[in-house]
Amino acid sequence: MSFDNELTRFEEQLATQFRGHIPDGIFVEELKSRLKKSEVFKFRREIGAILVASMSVLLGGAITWLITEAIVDAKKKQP
Amino acid sequence: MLDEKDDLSDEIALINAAKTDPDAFGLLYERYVDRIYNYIYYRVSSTGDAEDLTARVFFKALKSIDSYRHMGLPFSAWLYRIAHNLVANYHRDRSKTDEISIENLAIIETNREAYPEEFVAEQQETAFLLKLVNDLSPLKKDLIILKFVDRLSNEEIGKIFGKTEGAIKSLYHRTLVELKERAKQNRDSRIF
Repeated sequence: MSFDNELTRFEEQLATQFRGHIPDGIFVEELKSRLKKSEVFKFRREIGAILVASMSVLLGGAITWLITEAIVDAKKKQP
Repeated sequence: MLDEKDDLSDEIALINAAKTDPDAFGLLYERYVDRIYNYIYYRVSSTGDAEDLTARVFFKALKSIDSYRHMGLPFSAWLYRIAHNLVANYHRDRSKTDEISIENLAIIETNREAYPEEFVAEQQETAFLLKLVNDLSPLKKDLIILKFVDRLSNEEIGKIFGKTEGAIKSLYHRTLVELKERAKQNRDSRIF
């Protein structure tokens, strides 16, 4: 038998012997539940809400300022 | 090709959703938990430690998923890197210079009752091969675990190790030849 054939056979033998090990089902489910209940999600949602609120305030302020400026300019231009 | 693109865009969408949606993160977790657990299981000495480290990998992934950007590195490779670093810390903390002792791991007990003699022979052969793998360098050991336990391609392994597919192919061939030679030497010494 050639060296390449021997190597292929050895490779097949390794593939047969090294089967995957299935983790315990209870462990898998418990870990999933712990991950899904993580405070990280709540924290990220709060940060997201704060960002949206801050942007809204900034946008509102900018629009108010622009309108005020426009009114002041219009009044100045009036004879 | 189109399916691969669809799968990739589905995965990217799932990763983005998983940043804020617990159910999406749950789906990602289900997709990878077995593979990550297997990778860790063959590198530590107990089921308990493998479970503890698997949990740490996914909590770390959850904490850092905001920083994950799909720049050619698949999400699985990113998870394996986290697992690799945690396993390295685990061994360093315990000063386990002999790192894994995978020959001590429980061997899957298929056909134990139906064919007891074949089961014993199979168990001995697995233990023999595991011992040979255990004696390899850490990089080669990782390569064999990722190749045969996690069934990853050379390309995927390359992305985890930060090497090209060609480099992995070459390393794999050298590792296989080394393992085969060691197996032959050990079998010869058992006969004489």
